[in-house]
Amino acid sequence: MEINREDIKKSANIAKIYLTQDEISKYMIDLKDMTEEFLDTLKELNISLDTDFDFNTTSLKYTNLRQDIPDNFNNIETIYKNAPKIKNNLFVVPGILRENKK
Amino acid sequence: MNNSELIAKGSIKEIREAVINGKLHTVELVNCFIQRIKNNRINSFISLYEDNALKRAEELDKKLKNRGKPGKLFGIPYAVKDNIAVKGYEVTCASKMLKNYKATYNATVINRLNDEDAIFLGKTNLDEFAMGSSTETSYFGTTLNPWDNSRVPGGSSGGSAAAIASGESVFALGSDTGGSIRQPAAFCGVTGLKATYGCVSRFGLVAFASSLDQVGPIGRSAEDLELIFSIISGFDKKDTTTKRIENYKVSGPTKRKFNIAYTNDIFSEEISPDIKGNILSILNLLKEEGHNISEVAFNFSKHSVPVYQILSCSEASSNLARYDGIRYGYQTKSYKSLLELYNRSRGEGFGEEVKRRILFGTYILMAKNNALYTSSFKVSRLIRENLENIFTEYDVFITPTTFNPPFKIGEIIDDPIRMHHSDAFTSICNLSGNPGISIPLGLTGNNLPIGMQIIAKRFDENNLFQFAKYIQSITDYHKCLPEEVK
Amino acid sequence: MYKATIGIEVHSQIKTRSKMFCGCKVEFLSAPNTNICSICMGEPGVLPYTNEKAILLAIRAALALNAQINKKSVFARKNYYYPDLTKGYQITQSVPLAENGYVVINTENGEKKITIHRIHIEEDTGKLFHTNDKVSMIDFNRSGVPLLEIVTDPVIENEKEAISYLKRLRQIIRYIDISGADMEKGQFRCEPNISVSKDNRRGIKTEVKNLNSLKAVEKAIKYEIERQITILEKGGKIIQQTMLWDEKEQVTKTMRSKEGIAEYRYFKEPDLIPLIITNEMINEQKELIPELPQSKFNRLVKEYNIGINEAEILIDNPRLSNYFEKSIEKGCGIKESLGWITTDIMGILNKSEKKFSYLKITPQHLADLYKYIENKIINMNIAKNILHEIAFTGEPVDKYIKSKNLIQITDTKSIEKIIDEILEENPTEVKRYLKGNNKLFGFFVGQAMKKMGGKANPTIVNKLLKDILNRR
Repeated sequence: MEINREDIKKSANIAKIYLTQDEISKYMIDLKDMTEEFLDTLKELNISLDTDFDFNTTSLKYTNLRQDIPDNFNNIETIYKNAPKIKNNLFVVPGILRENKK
Repeated sequence: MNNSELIAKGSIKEIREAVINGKLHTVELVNCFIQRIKNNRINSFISLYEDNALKRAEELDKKLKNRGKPGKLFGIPYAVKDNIAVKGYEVTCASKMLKNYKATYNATVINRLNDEDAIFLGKTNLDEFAMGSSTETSYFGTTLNPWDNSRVPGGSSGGSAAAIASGESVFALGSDTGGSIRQPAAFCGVTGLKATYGCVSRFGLVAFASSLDQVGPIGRSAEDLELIFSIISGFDKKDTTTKRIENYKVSGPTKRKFNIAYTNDIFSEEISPDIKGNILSILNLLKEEGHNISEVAFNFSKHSVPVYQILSCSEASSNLARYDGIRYGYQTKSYKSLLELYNRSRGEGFGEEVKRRILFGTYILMAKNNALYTSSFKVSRLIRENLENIFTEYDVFITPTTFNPPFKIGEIIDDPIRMHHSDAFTSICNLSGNPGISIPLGLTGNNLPIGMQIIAKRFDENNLFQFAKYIQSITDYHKCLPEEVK
Repeated sequence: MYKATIGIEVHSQIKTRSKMFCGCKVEFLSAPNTNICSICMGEPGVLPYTNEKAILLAIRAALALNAQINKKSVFARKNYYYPDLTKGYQITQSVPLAENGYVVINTENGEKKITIHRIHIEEDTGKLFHTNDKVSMIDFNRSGVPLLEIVTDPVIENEKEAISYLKRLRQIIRYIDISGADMEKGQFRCEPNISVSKDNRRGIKTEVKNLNSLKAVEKAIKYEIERQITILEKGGKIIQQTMLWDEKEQVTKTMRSKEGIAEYRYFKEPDLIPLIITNEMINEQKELIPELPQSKFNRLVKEYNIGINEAEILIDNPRLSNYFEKSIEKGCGIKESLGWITTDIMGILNKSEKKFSYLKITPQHLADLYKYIENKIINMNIAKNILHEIAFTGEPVDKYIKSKNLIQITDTKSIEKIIDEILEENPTEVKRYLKGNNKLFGFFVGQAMKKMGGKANPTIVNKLLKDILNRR
């Protein structure tokens, strides 16, 4: 599997993590090692690499569902206190409209 | 036993009885543990809630005076790995990201322990977000191994294991995704359980890899762990992955003969001779006692780690997406746009190992690579089937917990592949869902603890505990304590 | 000739008391961030637990939409970052609750089946407010509210069909009572995707968001079809992208995609076991489905021989059509009932901005009024006036007519007397009429009716007036 700097940059982009050039180089090698080791494992165990796997085979006869009854969460104040930036109980982020306009 | 021996070595049952009989006051007991924690220099705790623990002890003493019915864990102090939510207290996950975050609710396991009158002491150290095998990735610094302070206690539940080994708590909760309870238990010479996936509620456990995570106890003996397991296990409506099973009943003593399988891996060159030697000698002892012992060729120990890596990183990348610096947690000091807020908060808030795993997981889950993730489940299923096969003939399956005794601090921190490999035997159970327990098996020539892992059939904790308790009834390994604790 | 191909994705909120995966209240008008908890805020360590009612209502919807229900469906995570999304992923379904349904609509060429590709359950996000350029604010009360996503196949050909489909779908959702489906409240949101092509191959599609009314949907689709044709005519290429409808300028604009690159990294939600649907659940819901709009439409047209437009008006609100049928049952005339309901009663409600439930006129009132007209005791105008007067009082028709002395004047002698009087009072007009200005006839009728307080039988007035004028 070919893994290059762009793959790492794209992943960092999607995962929203700022990376330095050094980190990109280091992670690229680690990621390559990891995927190769995994591909070797598949080969040794004679398992095909594809998305064809049925997650749906658990033989469950039941389904754990909750009754539609509102409960009272009694700790909203702590949620507010945990917030880095909050005004009139609204969470504040940088203007998004402005970013769209750019 | 006098009181100080009881506090240092007693079982939960013995300590509880002493408290209920008035031989030992709860406040006195709790104070004793608090002093130990304060005097110790191994950095096992991230936070200690002294006032609250003492207040709770007073309440319990009062309850006793008023002839209230004492719970199954009456007066027993416990510590909690700092990735489990205890309402009103910080849950840092040993990360800068959650340094000041306070839990707004109780994990289900915490409610269950408190309902039985246990006393919460504080939060223990771990690898950041439970990602590591040494506690070296903790934002709050490494925990030291109580047996040898130059060595790691293992991880990620290193703080919990070290706290038990150094007598700072009677038991502790940990979490196990690839071996995070059993490996540090082995490194610290204590007993640690990862139950069958679906037995213990994960509600309130900060998710690392949801398909693999389980909360579990670390303690002084299999007997203690079984009691804790009977309390924390069972269906929880808040965790739909828990199974509707009957309440676990603690098993009685047994005289039955066990069918025991052990992996041929113990003859591998990678296994340290001390570990191999101790396992073989216990196997001999079992044979002498009339149990049936067989070697089994198990081919997955070398495959479990790469599979575990793919699976756990993928899920982690999604589970850790919620830390965006908006609703709670670390927010970068300077940003001009939403994108900067995200990238910097996450870039600065997470440590290196966490970032590495998030990146890998993100890469793997991308549409073009998604087959890597799905295929990892194929291997998991294969491992599960192979284990099931073993359990058609055998009651338990024995492996070493680790290849080696605890390593030196800093020894392999820069070699992630080697670090990850210390999970080889333990991660098998997480991939397959089977329960595994690590019990201490004595010391190496250098006085370092050794652990042995016992695996049982899924949802057959009963068998697992019967066997582990049996071993601990014919040996004294679990009673070994580091010099300073004695 | 370009042919447009349209598919529509609808998100309908599901009417539950608590949220999809936690116990928080679902309430449209609550102070910001008061219906929130650890779970819908995506705090560390929480897990979702599924609301049974939401599942049951979704099953009901799937049945009403003629879809096949999957006995086992699978929840999945759709991963992306946006400040209104608390966990960094939205819980949706990879194996949907139901597939292969359809909705029948009426077109100019008769009935058409709009086929539905999939129906699945997911959770809503919080709400962003853009107070100014510098900051945006988030309210998470909506975070985790249950949603039903209904996706059609690309089988819709123009904006008219699209609107018919959406109207019919909304009616069905209201009939089976799974949502208010109020677009203004965001309970019913539509995202059409549109492509044009000269041949049978589907062209590159664009998706349009931010449509807050059916009017907007109609205009946006029309605009987008024209925009795409213009580009292709000039030899340009359509870019696959998400467009935003600009209500002010009435145009679609390119929206920056949520993530730059759409890479949602779907995978099975490991925190939720597969959703098992039992036969009992299905049968229980089947029982709760009433007669649905299209069959009601066909039945009304056939049974009462009423026009298509009137039938559409009646079925739009099941209470209205029930009301209509009740009034006929009680003895009201079909034409009269239809007229009163579709013009007078609807007019009264619109004008007073009151809901149907506030109306105090019952089907019995209509039947009574009809009896009075049939017996020539009152005329139609009086009847209409009565409706207005008793709309929100519900006074019995008998009592009202007696108390206001509204019994129709049919006695020719008194009518003749009044006609003579008004002709006397308007000599100039009489002269002009006799010289051939026929338009003035109406004027005389009006004057006469006015003098009799509107109570005269207009047919008799007309006849007598004509006779008297002819004699002059």
